[in-house]
Amino acid sequence: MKKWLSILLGVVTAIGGFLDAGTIATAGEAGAKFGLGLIWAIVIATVAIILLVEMSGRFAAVSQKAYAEAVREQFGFKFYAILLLSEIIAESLLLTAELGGMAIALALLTGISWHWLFPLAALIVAGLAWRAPFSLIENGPALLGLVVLAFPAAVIVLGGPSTNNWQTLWQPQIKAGEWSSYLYLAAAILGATISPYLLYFYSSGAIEEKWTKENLGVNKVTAVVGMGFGSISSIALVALSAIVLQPLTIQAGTLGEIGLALAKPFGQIGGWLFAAALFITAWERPWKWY
Amino acid sequence: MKLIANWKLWQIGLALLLMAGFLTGCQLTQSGFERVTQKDSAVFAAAATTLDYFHHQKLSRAYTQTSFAGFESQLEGMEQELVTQDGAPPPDKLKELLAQAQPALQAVRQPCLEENCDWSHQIAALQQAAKALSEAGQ
Repeated sequence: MKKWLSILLGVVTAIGGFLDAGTIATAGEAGAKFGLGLIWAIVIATVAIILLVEMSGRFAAVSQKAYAEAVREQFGFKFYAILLLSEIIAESLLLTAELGGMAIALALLTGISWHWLFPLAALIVAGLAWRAPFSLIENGPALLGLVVLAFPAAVIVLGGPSTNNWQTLWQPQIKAGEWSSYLYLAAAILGATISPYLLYFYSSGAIEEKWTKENLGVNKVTAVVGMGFGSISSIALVALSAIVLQPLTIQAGTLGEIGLALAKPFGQIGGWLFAAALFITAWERPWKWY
Repeated sequence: MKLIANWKLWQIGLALLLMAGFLTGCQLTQSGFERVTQKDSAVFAAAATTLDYFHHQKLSRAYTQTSFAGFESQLEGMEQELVTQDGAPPPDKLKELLAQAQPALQAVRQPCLEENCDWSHQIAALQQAAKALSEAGQ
């Protein structure tokens, strides 16, 4: 029973954890500009992250060492310092983006300028990271993160992609001069999904929960099913943007524009659901980094 | 060894792909004017939909206000930006285009969020500007 609960929690965590401000922005823009023509990038990124997460969990369970610890011991501190420095630079830039995402979500809910809300977002993250225990950090956003299921729900309510939308899945409509934008978005989807922090977090979680060889099955199921389910919300957002925004020639250049796709089927609640999804997913990542 | 051979195959494949793109005249990027007009057209289209959704109770006032602040920021310096882009049309055509976009720009700066002002007129102006910019960029 405990084993199944652990798997269920892993899957639930992955559903919300798969998205963040960056993936919401790129998935929304991809759907608005190229229909379903960039779903392949999400599928590739999902397979890659499943393999990486499964390996880091398996490694931690067998060696009883977290990923970062093992790299440091195996390759020495100098090599590890390079990785650590690169990671700190990358995550610091991402932290700014996630805090911006939180601030914009709060602005969409309150109407106050996001510039004023940015320090508040930073305070929320720092305060929770300072006071909250690991179990809360790991499980707290999981249930809240389920709000991203609003994306697949909206696709269902709208009756799914049209025949024209489906055609873009294998025949993307890329106008002359748009190839750079298409390739850039593909790279952005891969970069936003295959996030190094996830490996550190996942393997640290395995150590925290005292995983052993007996947990290898749970690890495999959590990685495959969890990340697989997680990608559904991302794919659904691409589809939703393709269904709603593309026919209106909206390119989803701002986060608020992506929320229009949820407002169409759900009205004002859709706008609030989008702001909540943006806030929770953007909040989850920096909280976990700490 | 097999890995190295595979890597070489990848390199050859990539080189062939790039060469094919070059020979067939595959245009990777748009002109500056095309890019900016498409971006601005999309912003006007988004503004029109946002205003329409607000007046049909599909969006809250807070959401609409924040969205319009974003649209205004995206369109800041639009006139100067269009003039300086490569591939821009002759000055008289550009002037005409900017004149068409003026009512829409005004709507983005001061969107009508009350029932007693002519919001449907603003939506029409935004849609017209989106169409004009999209056509100018093609």
